Amino acid sequence: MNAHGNEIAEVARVAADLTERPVAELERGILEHAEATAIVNALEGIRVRKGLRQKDVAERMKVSESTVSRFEDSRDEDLRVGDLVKYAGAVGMKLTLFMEDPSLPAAEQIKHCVFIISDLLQKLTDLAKKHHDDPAIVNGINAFRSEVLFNFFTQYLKSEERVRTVFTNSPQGTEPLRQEAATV
Amino acid sequence: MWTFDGQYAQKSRFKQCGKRHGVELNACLKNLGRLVEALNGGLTLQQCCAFGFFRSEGKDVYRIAQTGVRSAHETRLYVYARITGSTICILTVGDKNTQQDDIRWCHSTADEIRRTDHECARK
Repeated sequence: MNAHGNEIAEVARVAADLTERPVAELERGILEHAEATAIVNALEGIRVRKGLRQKDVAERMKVSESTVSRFEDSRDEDLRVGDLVKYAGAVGMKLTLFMEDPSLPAAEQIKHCVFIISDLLQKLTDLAKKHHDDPAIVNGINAFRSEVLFNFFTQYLKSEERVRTVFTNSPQGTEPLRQEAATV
Repeated sequence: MWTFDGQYAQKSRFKQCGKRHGVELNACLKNLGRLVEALNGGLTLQQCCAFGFFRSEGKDVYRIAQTGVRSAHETRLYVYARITGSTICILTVGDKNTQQDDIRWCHSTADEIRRTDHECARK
């Protein structure tokens, strides 16, 4: 469960005791609401993390502060693409449409993400080539690539530990894991 | 890591709100989850005040509003941020009509929690 899911589960647990309603029912209600406002909440989260006030975004969008407040109080289905693009631009982000096919198995989704990451890393390489005579940029890109590799391996190893538990407990034991290791 | 504590909450209020304004309460609870996620992500309480739904009412008492609810009955969830222990103490839930009384009660409860914490620290 991701971090967001953990917080919701914990809130639902405490609220269930207070409201005397079933935990599962509360968690479902809170999650449904979170899904209905996921995009808006993500954008507001970016604004806050960047230290921007609603007033700052309003100035950049050339709208009133109450317009920004209403935007952040919306449900995703009420958003207009034009407003999304303007808000994203106002918080220094570029809006990219990424559509997810929830019917695809996790393995296919991972492959898709790998290709996206590969394209983005290529962009970094192109940037480094373009600024090959600027050591600050080249060194910065190198350092970032090392950071990406470190973060990826850290997460991958954590995932492998969890998978190892499944394989160890399965009837086939760790044989599938040994075979997988042999192919790397 | 910030966590939640419901032991000081006005249960009757939550029970009533859950029945009458369940959608709004769920929205407030979702925002409470977002708040704690942001705190655990490294933001301070002051930085979190930039969220539209989160506002200080003084004495480390904060108000969390609902968002994303059409034709909402304005609902306010009040919490006390217990810095020692990184705990969000859930206090009460109300609306515009009960706002002044709610804030007064929350301030008084926050004072009591602080007094208890101080006495425990002295022992």
